[in-house]
Amino acid sequence: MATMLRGTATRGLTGTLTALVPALVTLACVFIARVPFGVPGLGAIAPLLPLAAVFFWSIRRPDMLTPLIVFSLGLVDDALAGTPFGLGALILMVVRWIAVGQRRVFLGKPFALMWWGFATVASVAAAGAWIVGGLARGALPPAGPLAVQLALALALFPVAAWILGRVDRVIAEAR
Amino acid sequence: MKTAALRRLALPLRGNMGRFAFGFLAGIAVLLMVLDHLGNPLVEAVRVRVVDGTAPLLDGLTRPVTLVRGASDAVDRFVGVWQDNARLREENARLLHWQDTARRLAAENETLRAIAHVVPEPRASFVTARVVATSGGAFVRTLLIAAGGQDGVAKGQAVVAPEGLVGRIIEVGEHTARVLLLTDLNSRIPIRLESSRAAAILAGDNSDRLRLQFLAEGAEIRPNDRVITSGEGGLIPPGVPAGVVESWADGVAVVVPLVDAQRLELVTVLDYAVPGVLPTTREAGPLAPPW
Repeated sequence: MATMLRGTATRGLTGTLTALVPALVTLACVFIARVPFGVPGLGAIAPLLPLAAVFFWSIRRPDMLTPLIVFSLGLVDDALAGTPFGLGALILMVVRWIAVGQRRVFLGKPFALMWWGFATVASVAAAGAWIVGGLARGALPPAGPLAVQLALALALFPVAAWILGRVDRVIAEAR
Repeated sequence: MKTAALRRLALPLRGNMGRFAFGFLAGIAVLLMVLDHLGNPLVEAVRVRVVDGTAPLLDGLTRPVTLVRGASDAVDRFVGVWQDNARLREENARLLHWQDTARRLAAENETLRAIAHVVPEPRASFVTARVVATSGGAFVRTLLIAAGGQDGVAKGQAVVAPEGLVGRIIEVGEHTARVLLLTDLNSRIPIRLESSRAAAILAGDNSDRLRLQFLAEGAEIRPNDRVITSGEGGLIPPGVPAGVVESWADGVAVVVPLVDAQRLELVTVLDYAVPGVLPTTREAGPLAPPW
């Protein structure tokens, strides 16, 4: 918040706009995850895209992705996907909470460590979503598709992280 | 100096605020989930509002995607034009034969209907809409379409594609509606086997395959049998193809849906209601004693 205010004071409009970038990029991830591209396999991994974005920004720019923003993004995702309303919000907030708590572990370290961190957080989130989502719908869905989704998302995380990293560099230059 | 002291003071406070915000919002999320599970109309209204609000954005996103897909399809078609032509000629010859058969059967059917004084089926009116979002997740199998209450879409209506049944409408907004796909865990559709006419329920389980439930003991069933809707319940017209039996072993019939929901661009919502099945209060009139 303090850095945000300072940014606004010195840079004015640019500062305010850059502060919105992580939230907007994550919102774009939510939308992209739900658009029917018709590419086989993409539909399976896409739902974990917002998860990757929240994890990434929680480590790099936690002040720009506040709990309220993450909560709102989760609700939008739930509304679009038709998942139990609140499930996605809860999952994304837990991811943010873990990532912000452990961010010093990942900052300035090799990328492999961040990848490993995402693998752990995403697995915990997926397992939690499976159980809570199952409770909310009254029956546990088959774990197979979820496991495939998770494996594919982990394999493609470096690509997502690279793109988000470019955006992060643009933010750093703008400030 | 002053700011440093302030910051020292504010730091743990900010931590506490963060934790408080997290706990508070997590609590709200759980509360929303519970209310949603109980079918709270307010939660549904909020969700529908959010979807209605974001639908134009999603629709804008899907249009270029459709355009690119159309272009790549056109290239594919151009490359395969010779083989396609040969295949289509052959298919055309076969279909002409089928057309003869169909005409003969239609005439025969009409005669038999007249003889038996069959009550005519209600005609379904329909709207066709673009698919703007898929759930694509492991939890739910739904589609969002860009047609809603304003276009005459209502809960329970059947959704079809040229290949067959897609699902049914479960949530309706002003300009959007949500389709529950056949493959969803909560999807149950009354069906019949096309050849033996045996009735059963077609159930989804969030995988890409469907199962038959409550199939009568000793019912005749073979792989490659077509599964069609029975029209029971009066909301889905009878005879809409839904799937093909893939395997039948140990009392478990596995059915492959005819429609690949991941590749759908446009779907048709059928407004087919047998009069009197779901009476509105106005239609039902005052309640009279049954004797």
